[in-house]
Amino acid sequence: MENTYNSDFDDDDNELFLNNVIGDDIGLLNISRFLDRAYAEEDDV
Amino acid sequence: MLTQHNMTDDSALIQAYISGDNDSMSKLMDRYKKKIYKYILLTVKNDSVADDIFQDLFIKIQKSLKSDRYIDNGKFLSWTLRIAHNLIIDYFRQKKQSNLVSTDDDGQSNIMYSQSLLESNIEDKLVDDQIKTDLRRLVDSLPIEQREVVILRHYLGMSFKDIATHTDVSINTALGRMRYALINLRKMIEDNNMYMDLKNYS
Repeated sequence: MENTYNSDFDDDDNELFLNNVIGDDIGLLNISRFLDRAYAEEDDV
Repeated sequence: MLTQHNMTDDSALIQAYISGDNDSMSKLMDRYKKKIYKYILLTVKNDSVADDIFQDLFIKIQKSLKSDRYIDNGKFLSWTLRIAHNLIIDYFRQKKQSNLVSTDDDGQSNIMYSQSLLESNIEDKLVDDQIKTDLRRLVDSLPIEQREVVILRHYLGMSFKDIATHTDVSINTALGRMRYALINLRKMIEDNNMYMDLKNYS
């Protein structure tokens, strides 16, 4: 899995996220990335 | 990450407030009120309810500080968000709201779409801003436990350890709720024929 780490969180947290939330389902990671974008700009909405 | 202001500054303002300087409370809340209010609003999805909860929160904070129930460990924002979470849970318990589906203990969920969502006419290809708006609407349709985890993670930037502490569940439960939230969102995206070009977000 390439480019899966979110630098906003520490390594342990990213590890938990990847192992327990995403697993083998790369599609879920894409949804998560979109959520990052959507809520990163929430203050401006 | 959940950004706390300088802990010394927060502590100084808290001590000043306890000593009788009411302006210090205003200064303290000015630092965090936007983020706290938005967290409440994103979770309850209703302006007037969010206003009420924020007012209750403000009163509770003042009472707690004045009665020495606050232990200053430099985490004023986390402490405040925890109180907000409890008020939100109280609200949903009172409301026993029916348009969301609860998450069972084993994490299995059934999604009941709101009528407005079903009736929405979502184009196959949406411009980027529209997709983000629609995605937030889909999050609004998640069961409260899953919606809150999404907001804590993606809006407030909490770690899963902090989310677990904040919502008073195990880390595994917090992770499980996040996974089900993403699975449910994907299902809603598919059911609504939303086209999301995710390649640009890799």
